[in-house]
Formats: sequence, C-alpha cells, structure tokens
Amino acid sequence: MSKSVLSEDAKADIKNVGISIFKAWLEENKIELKSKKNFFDALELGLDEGKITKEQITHALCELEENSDKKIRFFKIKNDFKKLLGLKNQFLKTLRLDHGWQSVKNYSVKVKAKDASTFNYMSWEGNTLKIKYSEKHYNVEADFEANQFEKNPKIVYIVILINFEDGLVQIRYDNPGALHKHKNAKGKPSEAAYEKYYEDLLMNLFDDLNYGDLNFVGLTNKILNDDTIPYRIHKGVNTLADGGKQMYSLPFNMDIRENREFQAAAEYAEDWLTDELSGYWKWEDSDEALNKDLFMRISRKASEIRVQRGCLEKELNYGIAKIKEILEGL
Amino acid sequence: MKKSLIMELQRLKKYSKDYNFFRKEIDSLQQYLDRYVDTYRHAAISPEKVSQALSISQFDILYIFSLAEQEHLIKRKFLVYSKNQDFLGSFDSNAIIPDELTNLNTGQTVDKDDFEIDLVFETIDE
Repeated sequence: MSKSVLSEDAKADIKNVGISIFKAWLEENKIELKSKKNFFDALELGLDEGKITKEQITHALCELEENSDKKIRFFKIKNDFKKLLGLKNQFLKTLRLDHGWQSVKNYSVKVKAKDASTFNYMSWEGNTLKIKYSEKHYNVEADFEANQFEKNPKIVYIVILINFEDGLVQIRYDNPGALHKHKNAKGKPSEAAYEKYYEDLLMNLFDDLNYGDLNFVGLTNKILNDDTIPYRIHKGVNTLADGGKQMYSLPFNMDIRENREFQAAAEYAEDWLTDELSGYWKWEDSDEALNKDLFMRISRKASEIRVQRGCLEKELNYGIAKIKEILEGL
Repeated sequence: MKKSLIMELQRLKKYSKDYNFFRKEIDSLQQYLDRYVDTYRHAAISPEKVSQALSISQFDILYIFSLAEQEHLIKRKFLVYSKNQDFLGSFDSNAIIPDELTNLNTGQTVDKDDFEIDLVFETIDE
C-alpha cells in the first residue's frame, strides 16, 4: 500500500486529459513508473519512490490542459511591439492593480473550476505573458425511462498568450460543453458567446495595446501550392472564383494534391481562396520535434487552428513555429 | 459580368484628383479583373483574394470597391454558408441577413452563430 495518496480531484484531472496522454507525457519526460494494473496505483507508488513529484504531476496536467485538443485563435499586436518588451514591469503593475494578479512559475498552479470563468494563474516567462482560466461546463444526457436529464460536468481550459517578441497573440479554447454560462441574445448557451467573452477579456487587458486578426489568406494558399512544406493535406476547402465552395476530402494518409481529379481542378487554383486545410505536419521532416505526425486544421477565415488530443507542448510549438516561418516568408 | 462595364473602372480615377492616390492600384486592379472576365463567365470578386494577388491592403481594395459601387459598376453580395459549406443564401446587405436560415440540404435551421459569411463584389449586368 502506497503512503502517497492522490486526491480524487487529481485523478479526475488526469482522466480529463486522458490517461494514455498522461502516460505519453511521462515517457516524453523520461519518467518511468512500475507497471500496475491500476495506473493510479503506479503513480502513487512512483510518488513514494521519488520517481515523480506532485509538482511534476501538476506540471504535466497544466501542460496537457494548455496544449492538447485546442482550438487556437490568432491575433497580432498592431503596436510597435518591440518597444513594448521594455514595459514588462508596467504591464505587470497594470495586471496587479486591475485584477490583483501576481506572476507565478509556468505550469505550477491547479485551481478548481467553478461554473463561471475561473482565473487559474498568470505567468511571464521569456517574452510571453500567459493567463489561464477554467470553467465547469456540462454535457447533457437524456434518461428517457426515468424521464430525466443527467448533467455530466466537463472542465474546459482557456489560455491567453501574448508574445511580446514577435507580437503573436493566441487564445486557446477547449470545445465548450452543451450547458455553460455564456449565452447568446436568445439566452441559449453559445460557442460564439463563450469565445467572445475571452476575446473581450484580451482586448480589455491593456488600454494601449491594439490587436488585429492574423491574416491567414496567404498562409493557406501557400501551403496548398507549395509541396516542399512538410504538411500532408487530407482535406481542403476552397472558395472558387464565382464565390462557390469546393471540398476535397481523402483518408488521413493521403494528400489531395496527389489526386488526379484535384490536379485537374487545380489549374484554376490561382483564383481560389483556400478557406480551410486539414492535415498533418510530417514527423519525418521535423528533426524529432514531433513524436508523431501532428494533426492540424488551419482555418483562414477565423485565423485559427485546431490540434488534436494528445498534442504536447513541443509539438504544438513546432506547428506554430512552422506557421510563423511561412507567414514571415510571404 | 460584362467586360464593357468593368473596363469603366478607369472612371474611378476622377476620385484620384481629390485624394491623389490609387491611380496605380486602379490600373493593376483593372488588369486583374480583365483576366477574370476573360476566364470566368460569372465572377464574385473577393477583396481578400484581390488584396493577396495584387499586394494591396484589404482596406484600400474595399475603399476602391466602394467607389466603384458608388459608380454603379459593381455591387456587394453577402454569401452565407453553413460551417460545412452548404450554401444558405445570398443578400445585398449585411443588415438583412436573418438570424436563422434553413439548410435545404439537411432541412435543419442554422443559427447565425454558425454562419460563414463571404463578402464578394459582383458586376452589374447591362
């Protein structure tokens, strides 16, 4: 029997990010636990033996909550952001006075989510300011025999990242549950209202900062038309010259650009607007930055991307770095 | 789309006198649109695409297009699609897009939160 006991909250959090994904994080960080039938027994034993610490568990949970299975909306600081770096203390002071926030170590705090938007922590490491929130949403299941509805809680995490070195701003969202506090004009929970809440929060953080959408028009078209970019496109949606839409969707391991029918249509690609690409950054071309092919859906219109469950921080960073590299080259 | 009409884009140069800019942009836009007319029977010109193709800011393209609209050379259209790319409707103004539209392909009602709206410019047929 282990002396260390994991709290029920910690177990729920690990289940929330996914046990197999948590194990992948341990492997990535070279933490080897003894094999046990129940993973939580192995983890408690690991704590007893000093193979892992509670801080590392918090770190793992935070990292996965903030990087895995996210929809990420991008903005760009419109001010001369290079000058802003020198104003770090002033920004921190604003956040302290307006909200009472103090900067803490990255990935170091877990907070129990309430139904309403719950502040978790703020950190400023390197040139990046990070603000993390969580909320308790609910999915609803109908029990027709008992004539009642069952509400299943789901914790969602929202992370705002402002990089003062390159001016890139991200809001990372989890998919919302069916029931939550963000309502539309008709009083119904709405994804748009949920996202708008955090967008407004970002816009109101600092009076002097202006943000614009990061324009993905050139990005998606460049990826579609340049096969030296290590991204395999299995689905693509384009707006045609007459305003119509065209979609090609193939199995995950195939690339639409190798499809003969697509090649025939692509004669007109010069006049298309690429709305959306779904595909994978290729592991073999990533110099070991990726552990596997990295799924990413890139959407032009909303300046947003989506990454899959199990995406590690280094993998997401690689994907975002590739996007930055392409944007800078345009 | 009638070539004779789109050629009249040169008419916009009268505005250049007032503002002293856009003469070069109007020429390159003219060239771009001429090719469109030759290639496509009907074209819905997206300001984003033109902006990217000609390296002119979207703001400037929208400005020139609104002048062209004033001259009755083109008209704006709002094409509404669902998130899975089903066409839901075409509207002359943003203000008249209803809060809900029926997706004829599925029979389901789509809320405006789930609209994908494309702003395009079309020429006015003679």
